[in-house]
Amino acid sequence: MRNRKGWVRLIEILLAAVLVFVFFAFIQNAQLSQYSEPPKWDAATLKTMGEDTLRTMDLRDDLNPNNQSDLRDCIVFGGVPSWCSNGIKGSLPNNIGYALFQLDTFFAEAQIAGSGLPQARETVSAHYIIAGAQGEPCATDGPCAVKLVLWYTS
Amino acid sequence: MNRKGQFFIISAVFMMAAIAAVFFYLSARPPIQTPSLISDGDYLFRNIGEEAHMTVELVLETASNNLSMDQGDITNLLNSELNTYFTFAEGFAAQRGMSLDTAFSPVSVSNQSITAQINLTLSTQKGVMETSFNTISEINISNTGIDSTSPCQFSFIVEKEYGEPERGLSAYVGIINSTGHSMGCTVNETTSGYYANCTGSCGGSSVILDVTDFRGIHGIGN
Repeated sequence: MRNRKGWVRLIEILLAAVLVFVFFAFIQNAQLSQYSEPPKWDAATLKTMGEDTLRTMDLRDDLNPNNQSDLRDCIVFGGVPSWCSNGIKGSLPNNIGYALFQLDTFFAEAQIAGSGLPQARETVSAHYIIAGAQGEPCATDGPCAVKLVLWYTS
Repeated sequence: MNRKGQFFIISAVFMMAAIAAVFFYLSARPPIQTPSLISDGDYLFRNIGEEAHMTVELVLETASNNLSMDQGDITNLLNSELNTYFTFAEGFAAQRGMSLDTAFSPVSVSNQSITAQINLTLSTQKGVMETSFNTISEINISNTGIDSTSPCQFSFIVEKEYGEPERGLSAYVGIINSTGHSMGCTVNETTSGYYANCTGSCGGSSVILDVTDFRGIHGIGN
């Protein structure tokens, strides 16, 4: 009887120890897998890049120096000059595709730079309003906006 | 004694089950994602405010290059352009699921300076952003001292609305002497502004400076 009690206690202690060990191992494993997953920030990163690109293009005047922001020049010239496309491309990493659209006073969209939208990839768009008055700089008698669509190419 | 042992194991199992339940409850909650931290509203709100200023600047560009426009004309143009701009901005915000309320009023207008008060309220799913500010667009040109009247040599400065010096304007500066004749001058940039070295005489103790800055805003000063 005495021997049996000893065995039961031993088994109880072992079981409890195994349970505690398995529990902590499980918790640690779950936490590690949570942190090792790739961050799901791609869309947010793309959007931030798009917004930064548009704002930077509106602040700079070195791509087409004429005392007017380069973004406004992109609108006026309709994205035909290569400096406009190069300016956008240059501010984005190589693995990102883009398409730049102009939204007129009535929000009608027209693509002015970049490539065609991808068929099977998630895209993110960033917008920027551009003031206009007296026919400038939106080539209409009023403000307009641009939409920059971005996606990962690889 | 056996019962005590069983109770101990069962207690341990229940305790860990409870801790595991709490863990799963917490881990099941969606992690904080960057998209939820980045609000579209902040970016749009700043964009709308900045471009409102740009609209005022474009109106000043027009008014400064059309000196026949009086205060009434400039005020009408300012009201019209800001109204067009904010109508567009309100529609743009509405399309993105936000509500933008705007109000503006001209504070002071002239051919060289425009001040307008702007009130913006942007309501988004995450809250309401409000701001009220005066947007100023201005050009100031002032002669800071004539060193010699014949040949005419003097220094001057060109500044924007908050006293920011405008640089690299030599090609956009015309100088008229006090008798109304344009003078051929070499304008050099200095550490404190510009220095004009003219071939003729100032014709008196003052000169008129005719400047167009990089924004296309035209100003006259003496």
